[in-house]
Amino acid sequence: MIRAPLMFLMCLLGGMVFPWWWPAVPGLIAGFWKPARLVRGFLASALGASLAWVVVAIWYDARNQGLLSGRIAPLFHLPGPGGLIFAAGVVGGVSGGLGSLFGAWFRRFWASLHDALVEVAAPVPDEEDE
Amino acid sequence: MNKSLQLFVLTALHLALLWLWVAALDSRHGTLPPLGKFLSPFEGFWRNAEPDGPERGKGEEVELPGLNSTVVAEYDHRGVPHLFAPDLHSLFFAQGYVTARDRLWQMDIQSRAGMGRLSEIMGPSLVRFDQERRRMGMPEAAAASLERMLADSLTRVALEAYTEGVNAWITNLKPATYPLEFKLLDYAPELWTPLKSAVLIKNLQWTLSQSVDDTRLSHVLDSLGSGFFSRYYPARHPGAEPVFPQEVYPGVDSTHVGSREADRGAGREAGRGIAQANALSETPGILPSGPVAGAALQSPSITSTGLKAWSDSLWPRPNRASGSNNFVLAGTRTRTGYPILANDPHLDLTLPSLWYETQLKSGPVNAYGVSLPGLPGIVIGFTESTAWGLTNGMDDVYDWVAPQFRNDSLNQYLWRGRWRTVRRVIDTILVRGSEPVVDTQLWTHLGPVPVLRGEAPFGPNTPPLHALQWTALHPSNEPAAFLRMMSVKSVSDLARMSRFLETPTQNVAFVTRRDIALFHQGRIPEKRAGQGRLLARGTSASTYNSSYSSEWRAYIPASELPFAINPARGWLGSANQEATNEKYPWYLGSDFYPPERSQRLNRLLVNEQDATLSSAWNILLDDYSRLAARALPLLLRHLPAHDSTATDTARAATNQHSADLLRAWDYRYAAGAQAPVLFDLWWAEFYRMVWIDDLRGDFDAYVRPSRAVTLALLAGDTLDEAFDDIRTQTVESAGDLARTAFAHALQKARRAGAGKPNPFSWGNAEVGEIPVWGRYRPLSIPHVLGLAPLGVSGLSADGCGECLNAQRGSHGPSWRMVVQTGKRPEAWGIYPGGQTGNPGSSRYDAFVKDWAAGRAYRLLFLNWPLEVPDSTGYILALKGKR
Repeated sequence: MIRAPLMFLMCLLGGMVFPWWWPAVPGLIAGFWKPARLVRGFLASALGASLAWVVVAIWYDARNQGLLSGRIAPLFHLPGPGGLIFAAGVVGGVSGGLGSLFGAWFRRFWASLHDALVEVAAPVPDEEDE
Repeated sequence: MNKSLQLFVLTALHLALLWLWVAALDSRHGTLPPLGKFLSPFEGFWRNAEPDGPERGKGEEVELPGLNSTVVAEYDHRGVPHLFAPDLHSLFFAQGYVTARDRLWQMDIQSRAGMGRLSEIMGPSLVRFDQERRRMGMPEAAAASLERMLADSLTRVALEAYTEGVNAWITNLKPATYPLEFKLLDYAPELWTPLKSAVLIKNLQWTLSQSVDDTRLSHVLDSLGSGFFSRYYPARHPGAEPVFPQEVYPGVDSTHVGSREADRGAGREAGRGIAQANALSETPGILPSGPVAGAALQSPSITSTGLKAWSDSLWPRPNRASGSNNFVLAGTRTRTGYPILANDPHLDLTLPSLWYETQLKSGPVNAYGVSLPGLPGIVIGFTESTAWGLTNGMDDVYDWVAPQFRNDSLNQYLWRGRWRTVRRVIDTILVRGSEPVVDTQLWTHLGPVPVLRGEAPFGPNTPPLHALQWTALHPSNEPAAFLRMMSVKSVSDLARMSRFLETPTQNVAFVTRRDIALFHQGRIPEKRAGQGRLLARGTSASTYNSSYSSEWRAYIPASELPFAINPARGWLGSANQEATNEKYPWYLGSDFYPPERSQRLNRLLVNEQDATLSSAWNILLDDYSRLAARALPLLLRHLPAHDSTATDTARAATNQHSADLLRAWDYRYAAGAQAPVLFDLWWAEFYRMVWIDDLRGDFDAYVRPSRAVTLALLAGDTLDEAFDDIRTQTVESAGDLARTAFAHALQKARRAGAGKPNPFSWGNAEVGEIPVWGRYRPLSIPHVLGLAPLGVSGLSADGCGECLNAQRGSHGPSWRMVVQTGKRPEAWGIYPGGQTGNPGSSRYDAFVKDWAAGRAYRLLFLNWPLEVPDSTGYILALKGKR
């Protein structure tokens, strides 16, 4: 359950420095280091990243009283500022979630590769000896 | 091992999925911006959402490399920066910096447009646009002008300092802080250069000096015949009241002073006729001999009896429902005894606005006014003791000539008996997301040949295989005028400085504490009457509009241009009409604006005996239509007093009410009135019915006969053959058309109002459906990219295309200003926009509502920082950085 808050923090801090796809990076790291079910891991990462984006978007929007989002939303045929905030949440969330999925699969691949390597390296017991 | 392979494939698949997601959202799709970047609250559009609320009392200090000394930029409550600098370099550095801070994207896109570099950022759909700018010679002309600008020490300092200031702002930007439109179009701002400033002048010339339509006018002569042409297309507007009539024109009147008198040529008696002028402008041997093809063009009066009777009428033109005004009133006509100047240049309205308001103060220089983002100095404004304003001069400085090419290779052309070589320029247009387009430009000694055989024309007036003579292609240094105007003290200073204004030609209005003046200014080719009105063709030396005789040989000397200083009548004004009367020795063109605005202006000015700023402002807001005042009574007399033709009584009553509504109308286009809608529809329908058959059903293929001519026919000869519909057996009269047009207009008016409840309804339900003017014809101010949500639409305002307050569609007064000199200058002004170009700011369109309502802002003219502490909004201190 620590995953979502961590994602939230990482996305918030990293977002100020790194490009927009940054949520994929903490997502990947989380997926790789912490074993979890694929779907649950995806959802937790997505939730954390998404929240970070939504909170920052709402902060800028509120400061501006929705003036700009009210002008931008119709450009994208969205019903209003809410639609843009939702869209931002989806972009941030999916980026984080896809990162975590990749991380999780990589973890499994890495583990199986590790197992296979161990298998190859270990001396094969001779059955006939028994 | 098998399992590992399986997992590898799955991992790779998810990596691919992630990669695809990032790639898809990191690039543009059609007109969609890269969604990842754009929607990110860390770097996307959210970052352009400016905090709402006042900036009062705040301050900021920035250190800028390249700045020599400290400049104080004091922003007032409307966001106008008042710059105080110790030297000119710092002043223009700061002007560049604060302008870029508010308007960077606009500067970038406009300079790109002028250079033909839009496809670089917007893709293949803009290649034609770019090709047109380039083939018309804009980049080449800008480079040539820049050379001239840099040779002038003041312009050089200003352009270079301004450039440094803009770039100081650009280099401090990060992708997250780029203006919104850079994010929408997904590109990065490019560093500013003096060349870009020069290009902006070319843009101005592009917009303001190409209003002629030689091609479609020639089409009239070719397909409708010389009889039709000479009858309905007079070269001079009937009823025109020139800017410089005899009583103020220096050739006749001797009230003028100043340097020009001395250098005026000897052969300038007022009575010298056109014929002599022709002789002077032509070299012997190629004089037009005998009756010439377009002889009728030269006649200033119309031959038709009906038209002759009508000398006081109108000359509107299709798609020309707007125009600028300026006027000056002498101290003898004002309440305070100090002169008043008023100006409202009418242009296509856009957001961000064309204008940026600012005050520039450094040592003795102290000027307030509007600047063009991208150019140092002030274009229209005032100083401690002077004020100046501009309207477009409308002289014909844009002519097509057809050189005779040797063969299809277009390598050589015949000119006066010898073969000349065509200069070819290979040009590469960079295209975003596509291969570069390699284009060849052809240049003759006359000018470029923008359209080749078999190519589609760029517009209605770009004939193939014609060379363009255009003064905008001549190197010039207009910014020098905008810079020097700030320190002009007297009329004779102005006379010298305004000579830098070459293209577009301008009517420069000017006042000091004592004097008033108006100068017609610009680079205007010397022409015979009618020369350049039609496409030049053929090489015969004797043909009236042959290519050889259409070549420009010289320009009218600056000392010969009309001007007036302190005329006895105490006022001067211009509204894009003819500059001079027939006695002026040079032909200036036939493309001046219709006379109704200038007629109205003159009548209002004559009556200004006790003028104040507010009475001058009201003249700019005048919504009286002289077209309506002339035409409506003529149309109404064709309606029966009581409609007995309508079979059902309800309809008869409606018609009667509508006619009564029109009869009671005061000819004012008030936003809340219904009558203007009825008249507008009626006149348009009547006009269409008169001419559509003669123009073979195609209004777009020809220049249409003017409203002045139509009106003159209506007034003089209601049986003129123009009124007969040539497609019917019967012979129609003006009355027949007027009645049918009235019925059509009523139908249209009701249709336009259908479903809209009308608060101005006056009892009768059916007539009540006629919408009010402000709703029927609302104004809009579109965003530069045409993105509807970033523009403003549905503005209800008084005024019409033919009114002094000329506005229609998205054209209108782009900057209204009135100034009265005195111990301290007093000035009001407004433009339809806001100081910032950022759609994420409440200041983006802050002035629009007040502008539409006709309100004015008092312009704050400061002598030192914090002079009026209550007016201070925000202080930006720009400091040099070593």
